Amino acid sequence: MLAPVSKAAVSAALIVSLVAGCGRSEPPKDPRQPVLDAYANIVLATYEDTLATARELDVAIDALLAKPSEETLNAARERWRAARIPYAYTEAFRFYGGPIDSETGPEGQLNGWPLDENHIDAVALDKYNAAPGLNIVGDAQSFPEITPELIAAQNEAGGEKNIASGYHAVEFLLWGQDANDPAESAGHRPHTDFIPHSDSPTDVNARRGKYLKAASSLIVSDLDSVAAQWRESKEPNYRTSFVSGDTYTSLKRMFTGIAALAEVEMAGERMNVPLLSSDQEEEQSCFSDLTADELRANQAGITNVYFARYQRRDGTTVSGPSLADLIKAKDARAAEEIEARLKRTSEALAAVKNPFDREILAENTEGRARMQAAIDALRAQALSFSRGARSIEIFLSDLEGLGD
Amino acid sequence: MSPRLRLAILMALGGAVFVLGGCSKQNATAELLQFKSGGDMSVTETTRHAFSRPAPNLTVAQRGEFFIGNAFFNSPWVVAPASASARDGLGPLFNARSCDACHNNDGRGRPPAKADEQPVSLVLQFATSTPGDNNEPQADPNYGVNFNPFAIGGIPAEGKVRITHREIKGEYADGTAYTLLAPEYSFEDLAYGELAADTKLSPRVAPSVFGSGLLEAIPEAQIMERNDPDDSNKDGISGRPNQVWDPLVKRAVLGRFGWKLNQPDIAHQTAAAFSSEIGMSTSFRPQQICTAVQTACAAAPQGGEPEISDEIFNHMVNYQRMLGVPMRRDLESPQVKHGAELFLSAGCESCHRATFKTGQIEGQPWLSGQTVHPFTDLLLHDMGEGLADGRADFVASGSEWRTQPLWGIGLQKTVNGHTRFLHDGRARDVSEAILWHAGEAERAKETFRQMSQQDREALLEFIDSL
Repeated sequence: MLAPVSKAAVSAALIVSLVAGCGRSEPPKDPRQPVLDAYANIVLATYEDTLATARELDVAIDALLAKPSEETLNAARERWRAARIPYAYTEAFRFYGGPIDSETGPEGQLNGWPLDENHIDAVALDKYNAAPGLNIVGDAQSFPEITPELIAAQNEAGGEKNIASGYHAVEFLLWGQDANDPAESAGHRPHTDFIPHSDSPTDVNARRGKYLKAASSLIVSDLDSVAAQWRESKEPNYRTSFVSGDTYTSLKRMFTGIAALAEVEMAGERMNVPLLSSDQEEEQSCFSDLTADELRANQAGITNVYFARYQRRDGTTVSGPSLADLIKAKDARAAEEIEARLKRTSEALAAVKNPFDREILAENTEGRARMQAAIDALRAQALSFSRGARSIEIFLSDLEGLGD
Repeated sequence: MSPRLRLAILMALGGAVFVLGGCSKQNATAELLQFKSGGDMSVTETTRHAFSRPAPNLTVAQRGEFFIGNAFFNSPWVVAPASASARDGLGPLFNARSCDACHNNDGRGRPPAKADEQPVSLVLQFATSTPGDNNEPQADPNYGVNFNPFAIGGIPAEGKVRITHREIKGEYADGTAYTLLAPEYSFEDLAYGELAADTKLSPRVAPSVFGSGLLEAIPEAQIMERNDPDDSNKDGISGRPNQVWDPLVKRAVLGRFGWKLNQPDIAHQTAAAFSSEIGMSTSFRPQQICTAVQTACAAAPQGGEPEISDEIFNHMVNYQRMLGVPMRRDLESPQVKHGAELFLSAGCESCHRATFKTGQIEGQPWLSGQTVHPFTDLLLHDMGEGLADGRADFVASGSEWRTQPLWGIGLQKTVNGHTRFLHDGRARDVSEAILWHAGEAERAKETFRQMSQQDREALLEFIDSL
């Protein structure tokens, strides 16, 4: 595995020295460089769209809290669903320690799961709720002011992750727990949960509303901090180091993001784990039952990266030279294989039915077979990314050498 | 013979001796300078995920299993009852919410960074002076097997621990000064009465978990090769195994894991940590850990019986068996090579054993027949009074500890952001850890203390290459 790398390095060094020998003053531009620029443009456009939808969600939450009704609650739910789809696209930009999930990145705060819902809010002691009143919403004495800062701090309370913030916290507050009654339904929290009984600072419904607003504000500011790292900037930010730093490293990051999302996160954590446990609520978006749509959007995000083509929510398209172009130029067979497998995965995911939590039930053999087909397709897709990467001399260490 | 000719012959001989000397030295240190610490399970990663990669010799299906275990290892367990019912049952008393909280990135824990911070990845174990049945340590009647500084809502946590440090000054033979920190522990706001008068305290940080499958796969006979309880070879080193009670097979078996080799295998170790540190029950340990005086704890809702299903538990155990071991770095550096010679001549390798070959493990081909370099002998050694916790653990006395594996040590800073070492994390870097060695390791420590600065640096460079 090491030999080809060093060989490549040697030949690269030779080329550089030969070119330098010709007496050019400028070092030759790496032909792979425009691929990095196109990627950065797509990443930024996707985060900007994600941010815009998060702001719309925040506005809808303001409207709900100003005048709680079935209508304003449903409108906020609709905005939450709309906001999750572009966020799912952005997950193809994870897994390489970029702005979203570097050591200080907000990924855990934005998208943490499973939610510690009993730490946030509980309404009754029953199958789903432990010790009502001993959570942030119910305990006005310990948590007098509910703010984005409090939620951020609580997300790390107990010395460790204690999932209390992000999209799933907002989801839980908008839908409530999914009691599966009727079986196909998601959670159905009544809008009256947001109508304050009184002006008292300890009023639970008012505090629930404050929690919702604080969690939503935190999503917006976290997304903005990530988008800022991808905006064009005169000051050094992540984008400047990504596009003008070492090309090999940046290309490897692009591949790592899409391969890990497919194999580790989607096939592994989000599909295989629920399939294994057959636990109905072992789904990422267990309150809204949006999980299957999110998986399809994850795959769309992967495809966007590979072909360097993203259609924005306003209908315009961001595109440029792509990983697909680089691989096609070196190894047409590898490129064909990737395209075929991307297509197969998209079809397999399209076949997974909503709601996700019914698809994984032990007795639903057809649903489980559809899930398994998508898992297999995702794994094969990750492997072919590794082969394609190798054709342009990018090595995804531990995916190397694996057969199908 | 002319003087010149004699000189020439002498020089030639000298050269030959030099070459031979170089040769034999190289042979002796060859095992200390092997690139693939984990055999075919070695990974090239050098980032903060260096301890977290699946071994490259897994099949696609095995990788699938790995990522299932990985998901449960990393994600927090939640308070019962919760919507995610496969994941509920945290506590009621606990030290951490997830495996990853202590074994962060599959690496090593540390004592709190600040005085007012409660420890997460440092656990204070309790035991009374007299062992119980089967030589097992006996828990404190009020606080159980270890201190739990956290609890779920509505249940009092056990209290707070305060850690202070006593400074110990010393100097190397060349006059360079150093300061060691000896930790001292006191408890505040104890919620369940006093600790029993004869309860002993054993502070232990979470060790890294990668490579544990390979340690589990080493044949017992190879470990016993260096068993020398009476020091019959008179090298000052008297390693011996621990014998720990295995409730499943109902007999004492060889201990392989834990700071005092107090757990026989990964499954027992994992179940013990789930039980006493996360508060989750398993088939291995079906009981909640609440003591007789912890009534609210006992009355709290449970997340199933057991809280972690056998299937999930097995995936988590297999996950640990499938983690790769980082490859060595900088092996061509003359300083590292020189450091290897010093490591050998100072006697470090007498306990930090370089090489084992794993056996054939049924159903786990990736672990089988691997030549590995963990730098541990998996035996207990008396490390002197300075490190002693006074708390016996099966066969292990209060001053005996397991030789800690050194593989991956040079990447710990990258992975875990700190260089705290030894059972309680008291050493702030590798040289402090060496300077704490005493008892059987006194001679090796003293050799290090006597070295020139250049040699000390070479030795540390070698350790950094691990």
